[in-house]
Amino acid sequence: MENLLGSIVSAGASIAILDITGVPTVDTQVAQHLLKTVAAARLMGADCIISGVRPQIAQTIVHLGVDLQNVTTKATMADALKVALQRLGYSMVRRGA
Amino acid sequence: MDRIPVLKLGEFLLVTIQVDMHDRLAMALQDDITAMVVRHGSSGVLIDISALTVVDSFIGRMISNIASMARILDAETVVVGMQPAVAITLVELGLELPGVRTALNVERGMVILRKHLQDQDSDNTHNADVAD
Repeated sequence: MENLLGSIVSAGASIAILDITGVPTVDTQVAQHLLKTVAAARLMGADCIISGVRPQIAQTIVHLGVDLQNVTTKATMADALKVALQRLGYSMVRRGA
Repeated sequence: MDRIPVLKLGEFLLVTIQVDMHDRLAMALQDDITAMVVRHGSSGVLIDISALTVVDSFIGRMISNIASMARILDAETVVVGMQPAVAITLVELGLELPGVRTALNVERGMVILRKHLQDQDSDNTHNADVAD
């Protein structure tokens, strides 16, 4: 959490992508910590996008009863990146035909 | 008793907290901000807490209260420059400041307020058009 928040300040970031593709399972404590991190990042003025949530993790989060309504979640890192660029006003186009 | 200055900056109010807040100072600030919003008809309040290194639940709730009060008085509140340690403390205290806008620094906070003002203006003109 400290690492992410420190990086947000030093990079002046307005969006943070939390990709958890490599995380096979989370217990309730980790899920709670993840959401605390998202809340803390928001307090500093950065929006978080969570990507790569596995089915098992989705179940854990719902079982925890944690409200993820206000957090953007995307299926893959690519989707998250796309949303982030869109919010910053950038768009990606393929060069040539 | 010392007070935290509330500066009028065009349509907005700028509050820069540069000392560690104690409870009475926070109460005075709440009075000052609400009075200033009404007196100047401000449409936004920018609270810079980049120099604030220590918060407790009372100060956290104060910030949240100020934002709610300002909204009732038709002003948007943006809290800017929160330190990582402060953000962690507030989250651990369960004070996630729902409904309060946040930004990384004063510059970005100002952008948010301007955008909000523009959106409001375009809404108003749209509604006026519909009324016509």
